[in-house]
Amino acid sequence: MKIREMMNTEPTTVAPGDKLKTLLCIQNARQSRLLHVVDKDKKLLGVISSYDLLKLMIPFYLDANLAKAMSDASFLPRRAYEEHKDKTAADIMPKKFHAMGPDDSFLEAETLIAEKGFNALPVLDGEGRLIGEVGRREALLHVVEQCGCCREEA
Amino acid sequence: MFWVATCIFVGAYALIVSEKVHKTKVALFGAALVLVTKVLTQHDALHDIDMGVDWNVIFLLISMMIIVNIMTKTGVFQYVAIKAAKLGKGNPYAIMSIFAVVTALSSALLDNVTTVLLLAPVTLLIAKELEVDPVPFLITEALASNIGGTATLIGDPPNIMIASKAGFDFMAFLNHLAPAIIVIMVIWMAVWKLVFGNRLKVREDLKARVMAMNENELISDPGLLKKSGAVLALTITGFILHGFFHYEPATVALFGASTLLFISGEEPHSILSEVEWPTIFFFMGLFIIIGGTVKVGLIELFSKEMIDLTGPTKDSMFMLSMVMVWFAGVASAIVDNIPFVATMNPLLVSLAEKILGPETGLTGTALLQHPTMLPVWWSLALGACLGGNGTAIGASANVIVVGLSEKAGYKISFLRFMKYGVPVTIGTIFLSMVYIYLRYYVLKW
Repeated sequence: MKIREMMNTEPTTVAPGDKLKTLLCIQNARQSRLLHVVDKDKKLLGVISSYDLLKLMIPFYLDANLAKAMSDASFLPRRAYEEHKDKTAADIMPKKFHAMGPDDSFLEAETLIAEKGFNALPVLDGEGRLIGEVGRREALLHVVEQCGCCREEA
Repeated sequence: MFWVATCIFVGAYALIVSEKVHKTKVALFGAALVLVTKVLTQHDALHDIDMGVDWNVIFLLISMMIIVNIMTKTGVFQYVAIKAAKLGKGNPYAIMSIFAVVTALSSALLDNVTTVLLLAPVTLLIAKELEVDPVPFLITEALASNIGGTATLIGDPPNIMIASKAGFDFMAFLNHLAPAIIVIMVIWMAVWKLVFGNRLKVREDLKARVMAMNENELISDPGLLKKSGAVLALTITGFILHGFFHYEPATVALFGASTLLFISGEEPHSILSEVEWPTIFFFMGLFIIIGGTVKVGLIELFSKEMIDLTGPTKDSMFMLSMVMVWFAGVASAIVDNIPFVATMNPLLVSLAEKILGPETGLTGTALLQHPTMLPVWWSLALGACLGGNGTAIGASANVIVVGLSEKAGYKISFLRFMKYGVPVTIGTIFLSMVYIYLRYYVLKW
């Protein structure tokens, strides 16, 4: 099966100059796995995952154990937002990203998602323009379909 | 062969100081060159006591890293840090000074880098809660880690190297260095009170945030904490008694680390992967490079120059010890104190053999620990450990603190660090000089 057969063809896009507020509010409204940073020609410049935004909003020095000691940590995201509110998508997006082509095999996407722990992968055409997105859930559903274990249940 | 070894030594040193190439790469490649050019044979490099890798240092470092790695998983260091912050009742200056003391005490038993790595995150969090600039807190902790680590054999790598070379035991360091460090800490904290006492103020509601933190939630594995606490206590006891039982410090540390690894149930792969292997290989490479310089007589040349300059005699090395504490201090502020001490150690051995050997007929540790030599060794230890406070690159703990601070959004410039570091270094080296003078040349204690 090719990726074009399973991909989401309406990935969420943002502009490189969009500020942190826009990125957070889009995530809040649409629950997208990835925010795809594209230029005016829809060429993909980078991807911002919810993990990238969380890393920005939660201080790196606060680990899971230390968090247990906090009685009220609500001030931390507010403080982080004030510190980073002028950052743009271009500032936040990681410099490197993985992408797939529409004619790549779905198995390749599944193994990459499983190996690297990605939530989703952008799908680009030959010119580097964003045309879709393939996510962890689609990969899992495909695997379930392949193993046939849920057909009787259905 | 002389020039081959010398060029390798100078080239390696220059690259390490320049920081353009990672020091581990330099040390390993330099060691390989020493072997390939047959300055040293592989047998000498791996087995010779005077010219080869000092396995006592290597295994002591690895073993203490293993113990600390396992203890970290219990959350105990975070618990101690939050508890210390609450002891200060949210008062920023009180927290700064308590953290300094906690850092110094921890550094005396653990290595300096681990101490600041464990305390810096909590410091950043506390500073965030109090809405204060974390930079004075972080720099204070870096300085305290270098000062506290000077007090014991295991507190700082230069001390481990000096102990191994001169045969000093754990109690010798406690006896000769800990008193100086206690005095230095007290005076430094008094000065810091004058500098920061009135400058750090916060609102009461912010102090309440710190007081509301619950440190009891931080102990994630009480069972492992009991085991690791017991092993650490036994290991420290082993260090105190190792001279009496004629065990090398590495033997004690290895026994502690392997016991804890055995009883903790932790997977060796994950614990061993957290050992600072780049640091360990840096040491190994460095020992071989310096061993090459010993073999070809470069060190002997340096020691002759030192003798001509400072005029030591079998009865007194006063000028040498006074010069040594400042020379080691300045050198350590600029270059890594580990290669500096690695070079000075065989130099002092050579000096002892020349000045004291013929007159006393002594050899081995009896020669190196002759009362005339003692103040020189302690001057080297004090200067090398305390000098690292002078600049942001003078000690690994400083580099870590600057890196973490920048990551948290608070850049510490080279100059800003020096504003704190240089006065503290000059003050502590001066106090060390006075201590050496009073103890070994006036009181003769």
